[in-house]
Amino acid sequence: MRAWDTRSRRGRRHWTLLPLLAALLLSAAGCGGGYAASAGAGEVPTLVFASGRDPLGVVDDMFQGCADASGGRYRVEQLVLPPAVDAQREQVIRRLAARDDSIDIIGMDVIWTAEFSRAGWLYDMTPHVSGMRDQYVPASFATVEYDDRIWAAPHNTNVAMLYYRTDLVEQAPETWQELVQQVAAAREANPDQEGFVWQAHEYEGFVVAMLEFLFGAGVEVLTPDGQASALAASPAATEVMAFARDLFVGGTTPRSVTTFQEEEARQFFQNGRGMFMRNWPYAWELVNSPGSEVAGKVALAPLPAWEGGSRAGVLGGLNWGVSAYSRHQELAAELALCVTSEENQRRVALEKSELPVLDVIYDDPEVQEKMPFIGVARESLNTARVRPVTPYYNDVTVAIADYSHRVITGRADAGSTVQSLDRAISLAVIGEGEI
Amino acid sequence: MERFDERRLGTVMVAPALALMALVVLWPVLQAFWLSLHRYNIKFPDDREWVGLSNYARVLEAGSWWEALVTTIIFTVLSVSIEFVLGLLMALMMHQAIGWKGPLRVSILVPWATITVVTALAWKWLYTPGIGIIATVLEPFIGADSCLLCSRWGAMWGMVFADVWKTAPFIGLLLLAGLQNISADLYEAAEVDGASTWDKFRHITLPMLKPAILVALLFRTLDSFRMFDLAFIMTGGANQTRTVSVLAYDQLINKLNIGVGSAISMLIFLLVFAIAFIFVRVLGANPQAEDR
Repeated sequence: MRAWDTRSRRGRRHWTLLPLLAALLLSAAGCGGGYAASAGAGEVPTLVFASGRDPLGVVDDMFQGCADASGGRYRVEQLVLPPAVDAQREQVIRRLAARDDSIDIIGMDVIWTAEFSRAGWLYDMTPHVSGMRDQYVPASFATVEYDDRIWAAPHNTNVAMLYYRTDLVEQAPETWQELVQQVAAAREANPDQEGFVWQAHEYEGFVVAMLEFLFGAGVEVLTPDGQASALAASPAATEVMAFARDLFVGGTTPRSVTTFQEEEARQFFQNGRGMFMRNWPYAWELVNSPGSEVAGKVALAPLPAWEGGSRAGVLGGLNWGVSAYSRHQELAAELALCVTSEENQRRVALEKSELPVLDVIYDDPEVQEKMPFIGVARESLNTARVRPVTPYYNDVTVAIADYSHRVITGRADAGSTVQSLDRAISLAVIGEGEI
Repeated sequence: MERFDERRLGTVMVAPALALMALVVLWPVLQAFWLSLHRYNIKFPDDREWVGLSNYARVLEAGSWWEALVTTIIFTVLSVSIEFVLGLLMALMMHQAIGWKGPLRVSILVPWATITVVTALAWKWLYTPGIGIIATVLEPFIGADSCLLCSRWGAMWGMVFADVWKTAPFIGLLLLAGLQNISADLYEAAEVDGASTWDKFRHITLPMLKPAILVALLFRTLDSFRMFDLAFIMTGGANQTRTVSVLAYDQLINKLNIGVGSAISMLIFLLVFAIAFIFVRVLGANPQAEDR
């Protein structure tokens, strides 16, 4: 491009543009080209992994390390996906739906497993991974399973926790209801005191938070076969909806939280406002960074339990799946396992500050020193669950977000919303979702 | 017969361009229409089946479609009318400004040159209590929980304001081009006849500017009608702020429901076509006039 720029003078521009136009037309015609170096006999195949860019470069380094250790049997190359998970899914699906063989390994959000495997886009990893099942955190391992098969190698897991202000809160609440009381007591003394911040913007993070309440109260979203909604079958569903609404009505949670995602909540809490925050482990270093108003005044606890129910977390995280259209599936599976090896799992914790999926890493003294909250996180993982498992997860989650948000913003009544949401979910899981 | 040959030559010369237009404009539209007649989820290509117009029936029966359409129309009317008034003022200012033309024009154009997704995020944070400056400034007046994006109309105005901030300069620039085409003789003649400033604006500027105004309004109306990013980023479609484009995105990209999504896209296409038709045929807008 540079050479072209310097050469182009007014008179010659038309001609120099021609190759560019041709290239544009070619790419418009769908010939991605370029990525997968075709591997004939005797050539070293290049395995392409598709994932978002790791700003720290640790993931790239893990892949390169595996290639170096393979004794020249394969090379690796990254296909960089956009940072937003939704945009990653969109791009990967476009390629898979077109049976594109230019990607071998896919960095998959934990909620993609059912959708991708049911669509036939993933290589069955069962023979490669099943022998190691016992070594993983059980809840996290469940995110790679669907239909009794294993579809990916787990890479990191995630679970939300309760951040609380040690200068305002004596002891972390055992139940959500106790949290409400603690905030009410504090607000009685100081009406300007803001209480509990979480994520209630209409999006996936809000659904996760609602699922934590619902699972804690013993409510199931889907029937065991995943073919219908189980929401309305449980009377507690209405209680949970009403509870979420009352957080706002009663002043436990500021009204603006209905527009908060993770970062807004973190910034709000970090500015010294609020007593409690529901958030993922990533916020720990940030709220304790030098610029933070609350540095050194924050502690972590597992999410509270539902009164009369239990504690429940909902899992996030990343898994490596192998594309069904890869021309080097065996090799790609081997690479996925190498990238998730015990040594690399330690790096996930130590260099990326993410929660590993191999259980043994949680006992590592070096990791415990680097991530002081890892004990609380491991405890939280004991009660964590996967999100409802269905190939139509996106249809289901949009319905949950839409209907629940109407309740917390006072536009719909809790009881009747549970009925309508139940109907909407039952339609969504058979592919007839509402528009 | 030289004239005829010339015309034929002309036809031959533009044929490749027409073919290219057909390829990039007509073909996708036809394909979307074809897809909209099928039940088709990209996840399950084998289950694809012909369903006629039933996807359209499903969309037109859905309350969410009509809600989104109303939202889109309200947003379009509010933002375009405010943008027009401000844009016109900006154009008049830029036309009058003699010494500061460069800096003034640059400062007016900066918002327009910023990517909408970025401005949407920035505005969302500015509106957020406890974080953003706008919310902080408003706090003494509205109270500590002054949440603009928490209600339907608050969110609507929040989005309209962000859109106006960004695109009023665009109208300003189009109108400025129109202003510069008006001959100074007309104003001089009016002054000789003793016309006031308002008279000149009303009887010379506005009528002479009409072609530029219609083109600016046409472009902005079509843009606003397809608004996606502001709603997607700022509210996620909450509080009845889902526009028709957000609805189409939701079906096509999120749920991978190509059939219903294409039906929504076709409906949006028809509406956009109708808007353009009304502007061009009824009001007499002529987008090509700018080039002459």
